[in-house]
Amino acid sequence: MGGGGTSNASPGEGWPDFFPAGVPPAAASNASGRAFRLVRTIPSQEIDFLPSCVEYPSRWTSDSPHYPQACGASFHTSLEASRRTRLRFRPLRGRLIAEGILVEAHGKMLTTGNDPHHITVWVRVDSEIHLAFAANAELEQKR
Amino acid sequence: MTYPLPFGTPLGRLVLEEIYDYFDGPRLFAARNDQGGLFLGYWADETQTGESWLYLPITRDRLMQVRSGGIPLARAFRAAEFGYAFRIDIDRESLAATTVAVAVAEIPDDWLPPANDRLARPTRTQPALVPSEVAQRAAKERRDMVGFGLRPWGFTRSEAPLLLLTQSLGSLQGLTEEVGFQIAPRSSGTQHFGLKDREKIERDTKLVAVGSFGGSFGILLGAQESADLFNHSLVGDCLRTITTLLQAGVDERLLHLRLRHLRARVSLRYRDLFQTLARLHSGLTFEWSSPRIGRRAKLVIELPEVRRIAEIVSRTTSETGPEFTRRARLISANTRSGGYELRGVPGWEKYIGHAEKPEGIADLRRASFDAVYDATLREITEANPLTGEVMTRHLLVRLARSGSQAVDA
Repeated sequence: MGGGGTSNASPGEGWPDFFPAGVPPAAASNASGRAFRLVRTIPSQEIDFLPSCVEYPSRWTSDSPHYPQACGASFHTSLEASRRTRLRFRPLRGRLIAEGILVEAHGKMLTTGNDPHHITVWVRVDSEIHLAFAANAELEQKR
Repeated sequence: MTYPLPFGTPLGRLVLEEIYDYFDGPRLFAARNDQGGLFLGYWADETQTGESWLYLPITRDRLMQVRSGGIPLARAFRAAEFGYAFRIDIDRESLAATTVAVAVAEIPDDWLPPANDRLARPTRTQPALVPSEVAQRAAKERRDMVGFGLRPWGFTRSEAPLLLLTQSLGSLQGLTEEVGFQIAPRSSGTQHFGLKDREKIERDTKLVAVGSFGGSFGILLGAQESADLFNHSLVGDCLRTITTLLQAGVDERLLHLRLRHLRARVSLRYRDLFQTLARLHSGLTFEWSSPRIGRRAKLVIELPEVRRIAEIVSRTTSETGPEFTRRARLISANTRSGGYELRGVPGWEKYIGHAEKPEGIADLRRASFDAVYDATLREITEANPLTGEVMTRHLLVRLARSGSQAVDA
């Protein structure tokens, strides 16, 4: 999946066309490690990993200070952080927590905001990241 | 508009001040309007047609409490300072905002975070120490100054437990005074100080609190007595010595070397300071500046180093002596911990310690208070090489009814 855009490089490596210059930021590193994402269904679907600027295009303009971050998707690096955010906001309380391992082919990531457990991942075109997040983190924990 | 901030509302033109939670967009944040009004913005609900947000008018002091976790998020809304919040509904497509002021009691429970949900942001609730302040004040006031900062674990605001504050400051004053007794010149040329000398040293090593500062919690201390014409003072020399001890950090060899040059009582005071900090889980910052040019230092000792230093200065060596038997009366015993107290017969000398497990404890279980036994003991001598303290205790190996082989039931 590539966030609805078309590739500006070879599939699996390039970034969506709607990414402005400087996105992903230079400080971002290759995606890696265990991560969690609040999703609507498990197995998760492509739509669960759409960046906000694609899912809600009316909200964001490219000159918005948060637009670069809105081009990425929010993940947590701890299950506890995902649970806390889910519980904190009513619109997220029905979500499930998908768990997966990020790899370089998925895109770039950066710890964003003031929460050390929150990362933004800028997903490459056709990375099929949803396939890597097929596990329900809470069921996994019970096993 | 800049999502998620609404436009065309009675709240005015808002700017994001700080984001506390972000998930595919800011979800919980502080926002400020042109008039300086502060709001806590919270993503409360979402429907097919749009989103509902709560904007809570809030004062800076209350916001600092909320962001540091002093007040749970839900309570910030329920116990709002002004009794109301703005509910702002934003249309999904047009982004048109509808604003309604709602009494906080009318906000549905499920719109708010769980009751125990708190932020935990480190929050400076006092002005920070200006970097050059210690040095400037030392020069202007012609006295040594110390920025003594505590970094208690688990505290998100510029606050410190009273016990930590009083005990650590007391230890610092005690340490300064002891160093003073070590390094002050003896006017009479003898080994001991006269009463007048002692009084002068106590006066010349007094520190006074002159202010406080944030991050985490600091007390600005100044010498009670100002420096002489040459910018020299006893307290300055003491603080320089203390600085060299602190600079030794966790370097055991260096710390031993520096403490060995000082009186055992200095080591005791140094140990007190670090045991207090370790017990009450606090790191330390120490910024010292003297009116004498070039005499200044700034040190940061994090909690793990504090613990390590406390361990180094508390370490004892132990020596076990040979077994011996003594007729003694059992005064007290704890059969769980194995602790006991015996008094010699005759002589009434005291033996205190623990029983050797499991035999000694089994003997204690069968023993009777006030009865006389033949106690087999082993003397253990513990010494702290830094402080010179020596402590003796006795390990109870066996307790036998006097004149018999073992304690009868």
